[in-house]
Amino acid sequence: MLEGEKEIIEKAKNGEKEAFGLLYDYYHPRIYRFIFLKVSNKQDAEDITHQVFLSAWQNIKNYEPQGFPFSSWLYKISRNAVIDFYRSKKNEISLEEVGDRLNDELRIDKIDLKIQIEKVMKALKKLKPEYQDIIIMRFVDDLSIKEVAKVLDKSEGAVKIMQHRAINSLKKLLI
Amino acid sequence: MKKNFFFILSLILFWGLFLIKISISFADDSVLNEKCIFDSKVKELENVLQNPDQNYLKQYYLELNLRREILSNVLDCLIANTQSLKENLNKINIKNSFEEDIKSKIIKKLDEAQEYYEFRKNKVSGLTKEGLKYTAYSLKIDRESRFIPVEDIAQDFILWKKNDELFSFAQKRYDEINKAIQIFKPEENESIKNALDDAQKKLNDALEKHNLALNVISDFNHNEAKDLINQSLEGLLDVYKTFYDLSQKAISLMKINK
Amino acid sequence: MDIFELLKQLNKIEPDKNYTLLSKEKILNIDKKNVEIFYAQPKPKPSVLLRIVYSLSFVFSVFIIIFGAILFFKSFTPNLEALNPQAIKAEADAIDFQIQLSKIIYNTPENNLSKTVLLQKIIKNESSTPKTEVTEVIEANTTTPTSTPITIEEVLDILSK
Repeated sequence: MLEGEKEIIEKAKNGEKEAFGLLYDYYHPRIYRFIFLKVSNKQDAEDITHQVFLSAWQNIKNYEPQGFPFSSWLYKISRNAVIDFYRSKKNEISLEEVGDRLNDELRIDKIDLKIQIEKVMKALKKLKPEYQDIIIMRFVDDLSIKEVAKVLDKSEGAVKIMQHRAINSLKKLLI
Repeated sequence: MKKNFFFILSLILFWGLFLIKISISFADDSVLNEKCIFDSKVKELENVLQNPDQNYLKQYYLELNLRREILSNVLDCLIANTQSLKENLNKINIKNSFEEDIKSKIIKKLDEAQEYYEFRKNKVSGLTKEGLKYTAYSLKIDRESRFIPVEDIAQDFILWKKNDELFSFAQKRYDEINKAIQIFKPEENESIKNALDDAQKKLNDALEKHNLALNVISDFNHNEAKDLINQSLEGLLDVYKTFYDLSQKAISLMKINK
Repeated sequence: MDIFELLKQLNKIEPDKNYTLLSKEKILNIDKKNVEIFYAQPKPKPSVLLRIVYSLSFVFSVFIIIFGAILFFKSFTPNLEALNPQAIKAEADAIDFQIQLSKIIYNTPENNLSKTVLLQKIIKNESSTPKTEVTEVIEANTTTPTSTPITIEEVLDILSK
């Protein structure tokens, strides 16, 4: 969460661009990362992320902070944007291309580590969308169970069960 | 005259169709009846094995024919059971694409099971004694690993759909009670408000388990599905206890106000 | 490296800095553009507009009046039938019945015909509980049987020896 986020959001809701700009700077990298890990294509990830923040800026007046973190709201918009993206585009990226795209995004020098990470990314792509989301939000972006529950519209208990299953499924794919 | 004729004709048609329906349903049950009882034949086989005939060939053929007959009956029973499960699944009222997806997956696996049983059935008449033993053994292993789990999930799904109806009634009942109880001003009556909040919380908890059960059925996890189905129903029963308490509170308040 | 450490590494994925700046600029300037577009559109003639607005308001008001009247009269007759204890008990009985059914189905071996028949009857009688037909089956399963029928698995075991 951004420091003083509550006040910044109120200002953004009142139309203050600078306030939204602060939110944009803080959340943009993680939203981009979330989307990139789901679509595995830099161009598409950039387009979709742009759409997400545009939609957030245009609809921030409708955002109600009570019990619903701003991060969860943004992730929810992102999930829907990715679903719409897959509906409109029939061509899925092949798993072989995942590795090539990763080279541009990850600044990692060790080759063996890069190979391991590529394997994880390919395995991630094979998971059910909900499992992908949980793993990315919880273990890559460090969101809390509560935040993830709000994004997925599920109880915290259900998220815990799904998280456990998601990790098991990912481990099975990596054997 | 004409009126009477049509009246009698319609009566005959009605009762005729009714009797046909009854006899079909009895036939369904009696088909399963015949195919799935093995006790007497198994006893016969055990008797033949424990009291062998002195004539070796006679003994061999007695045993062979009994084994063939029993295995053939077992496969007939399995085919009938699988067919019945598929028919039950096709009669279910599917609400959305997720349920449709689950149903299709189960039916696909039941089709595979049926194909397997039919394939084995066709081979039975040509098998030797050793062949029959081996077939029975591999059928047992394959059922344990592949087919019984699918049958379990099919029955979980059928039970879940029935429970889904009960949850719809419960939600409707809660909404109606919530509306009706407003005349007792729950915001001023703590006991009523607490009972109402309690009912809502319990209903949400039970519903969550119910919905989770469907996700788990979709993953073909029978043990977890069974637990969640049982827990969701127990939870739902608890909700009705709260509804009953609310109704009793309402009755006593109405008596006071009189 | 374990799976969680590998996932943490994915945290290093970052967007391109130029794209980030450009995107932010475009988004935050979007309001101005929208206002310009709005004024650029040709506006319909006032008389036509007014007519549309008046008709819609009239229809809307009529609807509000009718709806309000219905609600007003309904408020005097709350549906206390919802709190009828007999009705609540009947629904609770149906749930209890379903719990017993589930127990039987889960505890009955695979080939037992009563289980298959039970499942069939659950489907046939989707909108009502098949009490009379199924009660017999429940009673048959809860009384101690003189002998349990042999299961398919037991038969296959015997045949494989």
